Amino acid sequence: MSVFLLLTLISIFNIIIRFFNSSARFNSSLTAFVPVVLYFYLANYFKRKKIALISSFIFSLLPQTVALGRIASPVNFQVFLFLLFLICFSYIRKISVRIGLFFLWFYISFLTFRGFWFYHSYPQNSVYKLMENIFNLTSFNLLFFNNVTYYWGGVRENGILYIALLPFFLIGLFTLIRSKTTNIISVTAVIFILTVMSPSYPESKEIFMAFPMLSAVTGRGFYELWHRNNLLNRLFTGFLILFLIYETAQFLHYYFIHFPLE
Amino acid sequence: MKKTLVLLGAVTILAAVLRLYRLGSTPISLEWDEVAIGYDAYSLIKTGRDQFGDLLPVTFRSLDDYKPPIYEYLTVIPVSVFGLTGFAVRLPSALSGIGMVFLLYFFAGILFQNIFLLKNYKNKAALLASFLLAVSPWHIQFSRAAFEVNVAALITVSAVFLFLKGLKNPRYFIYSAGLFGLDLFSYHSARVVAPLLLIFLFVIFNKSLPGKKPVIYFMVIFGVFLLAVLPVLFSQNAQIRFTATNIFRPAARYLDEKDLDKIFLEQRLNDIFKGYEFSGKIFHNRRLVWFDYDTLKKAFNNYLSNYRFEYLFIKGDAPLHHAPGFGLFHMWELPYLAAGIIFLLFKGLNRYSLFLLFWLLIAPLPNAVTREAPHSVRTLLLLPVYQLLGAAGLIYLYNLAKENFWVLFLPVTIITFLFIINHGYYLHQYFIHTDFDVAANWKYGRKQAVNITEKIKINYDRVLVSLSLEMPHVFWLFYSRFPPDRYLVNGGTVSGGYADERNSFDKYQFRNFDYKLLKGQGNLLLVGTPGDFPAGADIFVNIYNPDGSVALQMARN
Repeated sequence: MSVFLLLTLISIFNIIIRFFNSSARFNSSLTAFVPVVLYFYLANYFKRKKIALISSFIFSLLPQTVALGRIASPVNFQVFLFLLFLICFSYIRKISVRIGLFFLWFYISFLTFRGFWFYHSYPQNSVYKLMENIFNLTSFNLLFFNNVTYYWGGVRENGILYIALLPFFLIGLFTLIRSKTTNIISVTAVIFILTVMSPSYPESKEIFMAFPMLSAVTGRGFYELWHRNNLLNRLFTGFLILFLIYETAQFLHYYFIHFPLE
Repeated sequence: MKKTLVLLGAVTILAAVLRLYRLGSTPISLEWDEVAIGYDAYSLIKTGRDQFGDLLPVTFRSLDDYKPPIYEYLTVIPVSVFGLTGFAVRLPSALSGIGMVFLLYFFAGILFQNIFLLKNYKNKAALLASFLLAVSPWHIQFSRAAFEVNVAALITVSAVFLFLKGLKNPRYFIYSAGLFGLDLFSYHSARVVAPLLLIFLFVIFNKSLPGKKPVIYFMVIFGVFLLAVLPVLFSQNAQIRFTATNIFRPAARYLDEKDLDKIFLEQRLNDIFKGYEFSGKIFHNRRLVWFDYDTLKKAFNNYLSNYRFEYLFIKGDAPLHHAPGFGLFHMWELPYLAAGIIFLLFKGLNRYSLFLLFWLLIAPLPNAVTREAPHSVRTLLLLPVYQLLGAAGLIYLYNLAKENFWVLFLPVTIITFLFIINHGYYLHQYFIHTDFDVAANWKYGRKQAVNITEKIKINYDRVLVSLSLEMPHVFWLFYSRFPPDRYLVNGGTVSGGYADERNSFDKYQFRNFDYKLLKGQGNLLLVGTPGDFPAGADIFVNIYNPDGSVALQMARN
């Protein structure tokens, strides 16, 4: 099956998820195309279309992507914009143009993302609180079980990633560090640092901008495990895929049926 | 080599001082498991039977938690030498702790001599690992109280050490089988962790095994132990422990636990309300409780929570399991622990380091399916791994910086300074604040109450001890040193259950009472907590916790 057909299917899935039983908003419908932008960025970054495709699909499935995709949140547009600029950065080599581009992104972001704490507040200045935030942000609890970073409410019963993605995530992290392909990790680290410095942490809008990168790490791990032609790896990956389907079904069931009631 | 042995001696002495100093008096009193173990050992010495009258049991019913036997039998020796005291009951654990510090040097030596870079600093790295264990807050905590898991940790490390040594000398290989077998009788979580470690050892070292004959001997010896433990594992009584502590359907409903049946019902009703009855049958089916998503998530969360930084470095878990205001590790250990993991993953990955990482991953498995996570007792079998990783990290950092004196000098000075400050703070918290801040958790006041009741019981018809004192019968048996033969003649302990009202001996009855209904029932001495007595009760003794709060009270009816 061609890559573009799969990419179209991912987009259709995203559109359905956003418009199903919901009054669609322009802002949220824009996020249906974030996986497409992510695909193009990662295809160029990894030079492997499969990794980009897997990462885009993983991003589409994440609980917070689904939840934020169905509401009007300024961070939706920011993620879209952020990835667009990253694509531009990856193609443009001239430093002066890059600097100009960075300021342009900063300016647009300043105009459209006033909720970002950096534009209106001082950073967290208690060292103890900062340490606590770092421990919380890097905890498995936040990553897989209890996402407390939603701004006002949100589906906190789920983590940022699904549990089934944990092995892929760890393998991806390992592979990226070993191959010294650490740009994605650095970008995530910068976003995480900005997040823990937020005075309103754990509630945070900006953390969502790291999610495409987390998906990329996970996608890299998935590819690493799957492309090695080994029966055990394939069986393990197959099991994890089944578990991922189960978890996604659980999340969608909860999100569409129980979450509105609760 | 001589210098290294001298340093190892110094580290072992340090470990001994940290574990034996004020052993019987800090923590300030004995908690219920400790007194139960102590009295069972005392009863074994006097009668050959435990407090229930079972002859040389392989599982001690104890507080209805069916304890594995090794610690209890080990306690027989110090109790017969030193008498029924806190020191005697805690001594096996303290000695295991000291032994493990000593043994870790040799165990680390075997591991490190097979790992890139570390083999150049084998002795230094092994000494560092021993030192880190000697001063480990986690290890000190459990070496200074009667925790069976501490003995289990020593047996596990010894078994693995002999297995690795046995790859070159078959004699050790066979000894290792015996220790892996003994591990099955040492602690509940060791019954899961030890066999998994053993399987992994066989898988990754399968090409280095010392021939067929030793392997067959190994299998036979381990198989004998396994056969011996199987009836214990599958007996209804022994399963009570798991039944009470599992996260799926705990027999006892705890306040902080979700009532799964109720949740299933609510969710199904919601599904029907929204018109999705069929999906409700799939996602909230109580017959599929083992596969319920919330329960599965909880199991994963329990497991992963054992690696939480906050738990390891700042807060710890239950108050009994760490010094007040201190985690399980020193804060300064974090950087080189991380460096150790990174080093082993990216530079020194081979089957030896892989085994260490596997150990790190499987040790918290028993805690995944049990209540109260993270749990530093159930996961204590992790311990030497963290110290080994820390030592590897320090050596790695040392190697990076050794070319430049100043680059080396500064971090060493800073780490030494941080160690002194941080460890000093830990010792202060442990040796001073444990006895004040968490005295109530260590069941302070029972010893004083027993001494008083023993003196004045002659003036009363009966002494009623409230169950709000939590398992009071074992405290009274222990501190009054009630002769086990006399106790067993009258039937011994009826049940170690939390709320059982049938236990009694001499003039003592251990049951709940309503103070207002006791008028005219004879001359009674009542022992309870403040909640047991209404205003105006004839209270004539107050026993205070060191922090000034009332621990226990005594009253007349």
